[in-house]
Amino acid sequence: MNAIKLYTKELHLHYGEAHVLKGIDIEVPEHCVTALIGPSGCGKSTFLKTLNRMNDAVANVKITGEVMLDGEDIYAKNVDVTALRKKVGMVFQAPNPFPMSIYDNIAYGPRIHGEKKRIVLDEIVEQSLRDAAIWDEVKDRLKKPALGLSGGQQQRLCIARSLATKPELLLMDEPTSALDPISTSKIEELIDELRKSYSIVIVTHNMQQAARISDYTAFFLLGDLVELGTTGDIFSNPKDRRTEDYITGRFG
Amino acid sequence: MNNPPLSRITGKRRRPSEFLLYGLIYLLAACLAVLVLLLVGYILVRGLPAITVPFLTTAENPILETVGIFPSIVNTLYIVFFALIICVPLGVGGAVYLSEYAKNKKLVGAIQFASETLAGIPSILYGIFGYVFFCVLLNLHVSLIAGVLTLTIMVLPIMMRTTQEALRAVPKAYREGALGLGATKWYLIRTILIPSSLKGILTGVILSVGRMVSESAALLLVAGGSAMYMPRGSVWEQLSHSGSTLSVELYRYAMSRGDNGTAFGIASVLIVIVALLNLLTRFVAWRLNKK
Amino acid sequence: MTKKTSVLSGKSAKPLVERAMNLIFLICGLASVISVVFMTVYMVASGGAIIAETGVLRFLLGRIWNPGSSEFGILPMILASLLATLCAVLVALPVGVLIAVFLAKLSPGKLAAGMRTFIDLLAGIPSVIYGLLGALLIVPMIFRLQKAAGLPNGGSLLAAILILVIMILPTIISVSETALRTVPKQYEEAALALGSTRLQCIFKVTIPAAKSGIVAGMVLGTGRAIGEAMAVMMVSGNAAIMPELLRPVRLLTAAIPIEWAYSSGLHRQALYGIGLVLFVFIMIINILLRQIMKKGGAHDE
Repeated sequence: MNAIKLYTKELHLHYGEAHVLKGIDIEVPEHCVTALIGPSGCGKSTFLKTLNRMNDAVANVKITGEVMLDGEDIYAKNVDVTALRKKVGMVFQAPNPFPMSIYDNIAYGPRIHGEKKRIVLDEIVEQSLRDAAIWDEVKDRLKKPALGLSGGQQQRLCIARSLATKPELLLMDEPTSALDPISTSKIEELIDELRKSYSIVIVTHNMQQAARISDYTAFFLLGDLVELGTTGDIFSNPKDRRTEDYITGRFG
Repeated sequence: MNNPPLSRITGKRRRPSEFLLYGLIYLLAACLAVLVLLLVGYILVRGLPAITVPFLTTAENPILETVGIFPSIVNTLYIVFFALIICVPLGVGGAVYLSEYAKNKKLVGAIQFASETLAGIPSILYGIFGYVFFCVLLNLHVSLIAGVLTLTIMVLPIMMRTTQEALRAVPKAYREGALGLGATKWYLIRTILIPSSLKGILTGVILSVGRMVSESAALLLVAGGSAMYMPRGSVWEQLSHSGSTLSVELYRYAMSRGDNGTAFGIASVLIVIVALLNLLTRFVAWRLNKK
Repeated sequence: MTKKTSVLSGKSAKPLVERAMNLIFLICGLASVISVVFMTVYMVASGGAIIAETGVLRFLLGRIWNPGSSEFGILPMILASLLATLCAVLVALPVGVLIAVFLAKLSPGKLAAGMRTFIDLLAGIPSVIYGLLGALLIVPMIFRLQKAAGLPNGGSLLAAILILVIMILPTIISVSETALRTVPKQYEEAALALGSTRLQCIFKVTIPAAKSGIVAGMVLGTGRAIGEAMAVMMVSGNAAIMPELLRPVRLLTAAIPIEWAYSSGLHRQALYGIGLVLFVFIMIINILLRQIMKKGGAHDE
């Protein structure tokens, strides 16, 4: 088993009166794809967002417990949230390119972190687009608005945009749920490629997808982490009855 | 119970009462359209002949008995320009605070309420407040600068409301995307939110200009009612003089001098400005929708 | 060997620029609150003096306004303002709503768009121009009526009402139109499916459903009417006597600019006092409007 990139301990999240996460203990290994599955409303997306503190801005949210990234508690007082989000990239459910050119979309992250030199930016843009397997499709139209791309291209652009800040951990929140089957398979191939250099946590409601692309799978139910194991174990030999019920389609 | 034959249902005959009501509605709409055309037509027919090059480019000369509105054009431009300089950042900033920063519900409620209240206060009361506060208390005297400050408060709610609406229309996904890449709030506002709300901000600017150009009651009290002289001296000296804008000048010609020809000339200039501003709002909406 | 960068920072978690901008935006946000507080304070302070000196009742209910002998009773002006506003709203409301019905429900798109251009223009015309037109067009129209009643020709309450009707129509029309448009289609479809005619549907279903918006438009129009100064001043004749339809009247708003230039001392303070009375009226209307909007908002959800 690879080294642990991130783990949480007794992670609770309250949203107003609701107890959304009820003490999550999870380990995310390096250079692996960890899939989070479970019925909608089980807390998996909320959990994902606690890993780069995207829930901070939401009113009425209270988070307790530990989230340790490379041995550092990301909820500690002296954490620079900007540096954290540079290190932990995020791809969202629906592609969300900014209303600017393809180039400026990719350069957005590096510019936040102070990169101004044109040559460096050019290189980052090209590299990120290549890594996200979209370079050949857009290299002649870098100055064109990103909103003119197709949905699948937009999502790969958004992945490239996350890669441009050179993250170490990549969070993906149902990245293919808004896409057609062909675009989906392209993104899945891409994820397979990305695991070599990044650690990935992906939320998906598609169990076949989890089985295809992930090394580890975590099953969430009503704010609890029911079971965590290698994807092979979870899908062929689940220990918990509820996991089996979910995977075999008895509910959810 | 028998249903009537379908032919009667689909027949175009209406009940007489409905017919009357339809008639009334169409009549009123037509009357309104005719009214607008008549009013604007009347103003232009009586006013356009008064508009000549000297009318627009000279000051009034009581000895030669010539009239000219150049000083009030300059005063109007001054007041509009400087009020915008203060009010645009203030209004945009206030809207950004409301939609992006404020978490305290009571504070948000207070700011909203204040903004609505300002929007509802009639201009004559702005005149009294501006006079008591800016002219007397801050010792600015009756001056263009007092007019600038008074109008700033008056159009602040317009700027805030339009910007707020525009910010509300910016997709949440943009915010998430930028924050997810590590952008700070100010960076997000600077690079995405403000550029995306430019249309709303611009609309606010145009509406504000319209309100300021039309304004008369407040300015009569705080900026004075005469534009005999050209503004002179440094910018600050010019701003510390009193002077009337086009609308105030119209009032002066019509009421205290009974010179209706000149009044209609100014009215025509104002109508043209108002119509142009209306066109501009449409153009902004159309242009930025296309993009 | 995989890279591991730290997310901890030596500095405080929020950089200085961030905190500075937060503060700047807060100040911008508070600008409107501060303005309202200052306005309230200075309106009360400047207007309160004369009211305290004359006595609330004598100021509000006094029938004689004679600054020369320091008599400051503003009852005629209050009644004139209320009467003018009430009549203007009573006329403009049904007319405005019917035109809004035309725009939102009956007219083809292009015609409605053209009409809206006209209405926007009407809304944008400066009030001094309305005053000018009123003085030259409306006031003479009333001459014959005044002659028939044996009254001298001149500005009158009726002229003020007519000019106010035109001035508040755009507000009432556009607010009502928006309210009519936001009524969910299902309501109307249900009514039409039950066999009601188009107009029955509009008057029995759509207008009642848009009630809170229409009332908001009415209150907004009331605020505009009661606060309008220049236009009514130019058509109403400005005599501070008890209001009658065909006689000249002086409205609260008009009293201020008409005497401003030659007032000083106690007289000026009396004008401030009128401002305060007007301010109170406007605040009541504002609060009323807010309540209506709140209710309407809660209703929609």
